[in-house]
Amino acid sequence: MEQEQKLWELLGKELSGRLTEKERPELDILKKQFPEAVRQYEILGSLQFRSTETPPERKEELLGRIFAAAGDPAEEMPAEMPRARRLRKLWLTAVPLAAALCAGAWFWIGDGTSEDKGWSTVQTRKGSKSKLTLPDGTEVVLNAGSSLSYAEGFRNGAREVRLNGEGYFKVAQNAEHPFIVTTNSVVVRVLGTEFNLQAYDSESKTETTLISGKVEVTVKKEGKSYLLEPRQKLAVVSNPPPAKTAARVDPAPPKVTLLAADTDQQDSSLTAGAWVENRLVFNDEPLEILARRLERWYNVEVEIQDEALKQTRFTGSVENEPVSQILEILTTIKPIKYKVTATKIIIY
Amino acid sequence: MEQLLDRIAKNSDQLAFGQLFSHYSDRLIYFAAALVRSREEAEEVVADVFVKLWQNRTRLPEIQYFQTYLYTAVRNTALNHKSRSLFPHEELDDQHAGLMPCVVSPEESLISRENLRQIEQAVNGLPLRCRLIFKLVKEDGLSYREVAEVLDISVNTVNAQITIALKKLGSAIDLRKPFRIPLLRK
Repeated sequence: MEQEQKLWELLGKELSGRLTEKERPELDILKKQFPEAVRQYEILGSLQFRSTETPPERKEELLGRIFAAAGDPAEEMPAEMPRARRLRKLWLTAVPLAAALCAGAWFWIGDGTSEDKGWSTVQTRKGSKSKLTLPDGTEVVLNAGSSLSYAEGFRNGAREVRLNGEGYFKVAQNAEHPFIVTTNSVVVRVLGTEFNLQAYDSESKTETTLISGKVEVTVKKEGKSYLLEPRQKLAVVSNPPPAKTAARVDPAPPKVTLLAADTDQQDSSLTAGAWVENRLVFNDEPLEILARRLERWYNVEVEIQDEALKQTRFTGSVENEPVSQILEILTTIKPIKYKVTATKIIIY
Repeated sequence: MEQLLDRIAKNSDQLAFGQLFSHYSDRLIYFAAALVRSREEAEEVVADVFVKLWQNRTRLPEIQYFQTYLYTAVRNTALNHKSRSLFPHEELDDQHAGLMPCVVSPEESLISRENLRQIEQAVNGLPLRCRLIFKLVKEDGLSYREVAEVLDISVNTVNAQITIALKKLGSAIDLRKPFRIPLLRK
């Protein structure tokens, strides 16, 4: 049966596309000799050999651990610690910490409480941006150091997301289901539109800038709603809660202003959302605020040693420049000095 | 696939990375399961590989043969996990490395249940290494050369193993059972 053996061998080569031109005629002859084997081979070809599949929720869980573990730079562990245990340990600690770590992470929030069940979160680290498409087709670009959560039930029409940080939204049209973004201080309702929302939990100011379409912004602490026109922005400055919480005093209401959106001095394009195209635009911005943007943008630490400098205002725009270049540009605008150490940038 | 890798590298697109993961995870976990002792460990090996992929995402487009790279990474990680030789266990009843033949042409159920069972027994009766090589070629679409590289064996060995698998499985198909033959060519 050496001939038949040869046939199976050539069929195997055919299967993986390794049959040479020389072997083809030989295979054809053998096929005629053993029609039964050929039929068996064809039936085999019509079958799929499946292995145990990992259930989707398990995959999701694994993916969450992967992002969490990847965001935590694995420091050198002592060699005697087996890898498997090290990874497990890393996972166990990384998931709850992921939010605090500012790591790129994707995980299930909540422990099955009805409100938080099945929310997915996408986080961007400092120094990196992320572009994503939500299940309804809405496109979001997330700026550095931001996180966006959305409910798993998104597919059922409820389009609700939570944002901490800055995002540029191109919302897919769907008149029946408004798209709702909730942040610490505002709720934005959308009906198919393009807008930029800057709302870092760590900052006191939230800015919603409407590029096109229509949005309604509700300021949570006021309960008031504002309808924005294109090229307008709504700034909400929250007051920090009083430091001495002996008596439970509510903080003063936030300061809300509706004004024309900031535009670039040169071409009057809107500056909100410039970051999506890697343009860093600052308009009469105190150095203190600018420094925080640089920290997120470049994942560096910036220390300003001179109190007066913190309030010095800068205006300008740069595109795709390394941080050293930006510092150089700043020194040409105002007389500041800076030095770069191994761990941070010091402006003095 | 290239587009997906591009989106991951350029935009740090986590959703694209999720797609990449779900595209490959089942086959890679199966592959890893043939090299380590348990399914959990196999999942860990694959996760470990994807952690490194995400950490080095900006360099993904530089990888020339992505599929070979993935399988090789899984293999090396599995070996590091165990510091043992390939195919440490050869028990017949390794649940996590079993295969299940299914009919994929839905328009006709050609094969009697009984015959499917025979094929299933035949495939899971193959030595683990032979079964794995068969799956890599038939289901995962790796070429002989890729399989040889990934498992660190010669192309001739791959060839011989595939021949054994095809012949064994082919003869498990009983042609006397009446069914129509599909003309399904790859």
